[in-house]
Amino acid sequence: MPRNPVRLALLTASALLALAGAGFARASVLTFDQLITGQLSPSEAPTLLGPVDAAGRNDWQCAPERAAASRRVTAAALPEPRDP
Amino acid sequence: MWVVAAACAIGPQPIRAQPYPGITPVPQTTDPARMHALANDREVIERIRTAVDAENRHDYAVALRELERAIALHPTEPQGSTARYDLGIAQANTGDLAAAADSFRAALALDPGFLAARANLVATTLEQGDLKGARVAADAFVRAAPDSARALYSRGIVALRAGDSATALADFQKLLSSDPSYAVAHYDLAIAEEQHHDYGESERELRAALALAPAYTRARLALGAVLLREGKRDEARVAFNDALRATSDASLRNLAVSLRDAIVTAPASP
Repeated sequence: MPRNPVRLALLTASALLALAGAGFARASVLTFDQLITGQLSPSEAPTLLGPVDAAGRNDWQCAPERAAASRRVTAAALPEPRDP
Repeated sequence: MWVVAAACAIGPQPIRAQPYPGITPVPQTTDPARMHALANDREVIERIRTAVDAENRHDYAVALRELERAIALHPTEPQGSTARYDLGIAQANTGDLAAAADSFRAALALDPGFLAARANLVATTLEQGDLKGARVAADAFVRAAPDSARALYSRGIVALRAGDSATALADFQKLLSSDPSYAVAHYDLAIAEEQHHDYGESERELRAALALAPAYTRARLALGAVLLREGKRDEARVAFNDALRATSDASLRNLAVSLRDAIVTAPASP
């Protein structure tokens, strides 16, 4: 049995406050790290290529097939450098 | 006399023939089965044509109806794969991504060399959030067209999202070897390097992206983040300030300010 219950209550409250403070500090560190990680996400996927007419994919005469096959970025209908 | 003079003044008029679509064969048979097959082919072609016109004006309800009817007529190639490919586009644009993916797969079952269908299958499965399915489709796309810029970019993005930085590194490096002027590929290569914990290379790629596209705020924010990973707090602060100056977008400006101001209070990155 403690000799001074008021002193014990104060000590317990201080310990709890210290724990809560550590918890808040940890939460703020995670938030900052998450902020950084959020800036390191991949670009968006390419959009769908357009429709093909009834003649079918006749290679270089068919714009979507040409975009899918091209080695050149400018012909491949890929995303432009832009912000999310 | 006056009539002749008037006719000469007007000049020769072009002869107007009834316009037949160039790809529809004119039936030259009296055989009923052959006539029926030709009529079927013509109906398929006309329905695909109507659907493509509808898709080009974003009227996907009409496109869906026409393409489903065309497919019900059991079209031969190339119309069979074409109708399924175009149906996939209409389904994706009406939000039915699972059906769209199935339609692109059906097109590929009929024509495995259909690269546009491979490209759209990757995009659709990614949009679904099906990383595993997207990776299978992306691998097949790269196998079918190893030098295709879109195949390399698509698989690189799929790999990055799945945390496979080794594949992403290889794909973006190959893409940049054939076209080093694509800023987005430098950005994504930087993300792959960062996932690989190679922060120096990541910084170098981000600076390359910004040299090609100075208004690329996303790359400036990423550069600040990578500099923080390297423990270069002062340079990171400069990068966030540059991002602040480079954009008028309110949310990006707020983000740049938050990151810059957080540097003061945050502990150093491990």
